[in-house]
Amino acid sequence: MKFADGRKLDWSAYTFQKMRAENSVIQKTLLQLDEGGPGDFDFTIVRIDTEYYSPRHTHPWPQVRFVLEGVQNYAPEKDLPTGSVSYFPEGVYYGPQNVGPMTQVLLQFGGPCGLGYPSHAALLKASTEMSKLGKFIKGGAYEKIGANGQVQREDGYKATWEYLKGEPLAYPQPQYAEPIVTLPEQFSWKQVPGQAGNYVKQLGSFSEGQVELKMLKAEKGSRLVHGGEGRRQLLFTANGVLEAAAASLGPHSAMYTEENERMEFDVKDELYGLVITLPSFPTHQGQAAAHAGGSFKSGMQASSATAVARSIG
Amino acid sequence: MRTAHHAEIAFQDWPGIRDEGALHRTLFQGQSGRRDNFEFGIVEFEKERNGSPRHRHVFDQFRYALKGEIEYNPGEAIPEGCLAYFPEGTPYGPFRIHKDSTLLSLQLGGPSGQGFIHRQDLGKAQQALAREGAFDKGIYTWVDAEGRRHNEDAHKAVWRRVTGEVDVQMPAPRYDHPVLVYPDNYKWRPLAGGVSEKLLGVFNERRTSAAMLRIEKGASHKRVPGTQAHLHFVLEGAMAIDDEQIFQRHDACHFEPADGAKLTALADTTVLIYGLPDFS
Repeated sequence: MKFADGRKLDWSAYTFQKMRAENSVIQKTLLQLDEGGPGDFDFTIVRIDTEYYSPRHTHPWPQVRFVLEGVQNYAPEKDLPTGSVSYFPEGVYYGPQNVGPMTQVLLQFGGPCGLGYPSHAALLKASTEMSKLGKFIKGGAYEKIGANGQVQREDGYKATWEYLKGEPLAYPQPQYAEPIVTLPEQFSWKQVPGQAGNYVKQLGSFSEGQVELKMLKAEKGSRLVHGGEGRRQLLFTANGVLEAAAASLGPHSAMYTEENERMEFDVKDELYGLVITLPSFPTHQGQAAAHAGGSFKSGMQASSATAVARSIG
Repeated sequence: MRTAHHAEIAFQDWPGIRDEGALHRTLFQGQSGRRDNFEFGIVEFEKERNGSPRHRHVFDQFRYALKGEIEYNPGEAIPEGCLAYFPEGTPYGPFRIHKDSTLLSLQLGGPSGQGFIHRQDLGKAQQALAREGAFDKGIYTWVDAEGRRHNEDAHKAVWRRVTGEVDVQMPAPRYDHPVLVYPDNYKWRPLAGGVSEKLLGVFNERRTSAAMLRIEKGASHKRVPGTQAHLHFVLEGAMAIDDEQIFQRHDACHFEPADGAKLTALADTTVLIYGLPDFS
């Protein structure tokens, strides 16, 4: 279990911009998992006070975006409004995006393809070395002189990933045609069974890894029970105050729970937050079985047998 | 459990609101008046058709392209072997159908709980409206008592006639766009020996879902009772249910939440499964 209080964190330059010596995007890193496994992630608050441009591109990992302030453009005539929660699947192209000003919660994580999510520290180290062999240019490309003496240009992230891993990056084929944008305000609250004062809005569950998105509300004075559902989860608090002996969470805080970790809080001020269930991965044996929790270093994790049964009946 | 063997069900040319040139083979219908009412069937298009204009519904839809591709927005089409979820309240269209295409259509009550109205009921209302005005290319046109001419989306006009509502209570969209899914790009997740699944998506707070189940020849999958009803459609292969009824390609089953069953593959079999909305 891990906690972060976003109010106590400092803004810093956004990692991918550091690689290109740009500075229009700043971030607060809430939580990271960097163990070299398929379940690694980077959970941040990202702020753009002016503007940011990126060309049409894709990633070998998915994103979840929760817009806190402003409107985020992600493709021509396509915007993420304030309050929206979106799933950007791995392998899906989007952009060019002209973003800003806005503030959003951004989760980038190892997706169902199993390629994982390289740590920002490793990417920065690789890009520093690559800068001696070529140059990163505005817009996200990397240029260097090839063996034939000609300038070679390619996507900067792809070039860095391949330099880091020492192998070609095989992008996963898209499972959806485009990012899935949900408007949580229009969904209905459902009471959490057996938990007075706790409510959820189920926004959706995507990919064979069953990445689940839901909004959570807990009334002031209620008791919030979170986690313990056999899946890894992240909670982000947009508003509210939660208190427990182990931690106190205010607005813009985050919590990470592993498969069978469970946390109880007293709700001191009404909570409105986002819960992201991270993808499950099949076992080496190929059996869906309950996972005992614990380290990601042991490799692939099991699917939740409960979730599977619920999905197909 | 209800069963539908496609070869025993004739194609019908439904009275068209938007579906000129479409033949419908209805596999199942739900119960009129219920929030989880639905209509599930195969639709064949004999000729190219510029279909409905840009519009939206008070109910959900899924479309799976069995043959050919289905264009649902300019430049956006459901390729053969893919499906799309059309959420209630989310605009799409104009809809364009290519010659000799076939889709598996599920129309069902959406999360707002406004249910779904069957074609028979819509047909009766459409006939009544046709006596008072005219339908053309998805638009209903009539002249009121003061001699004023009105144009209205055809489906909306018929819906208003059936429900008696002054206006359609269109739910605000929960998603900004239909969700197009490419099942071939999912990995099969093993469930048990010889059985695996692809969970394609779970949508909205009623957990309406789409998934695929693969059962290798000779293997069995046990359906356990739960809180959700499901529709099973055999995409490939053949299977026996409870060692009795045999289901071939394009046959279907409707399981109520309390139904249990054993599905045994007689050949390598792939089943498309829709989870109907859970209003419990």
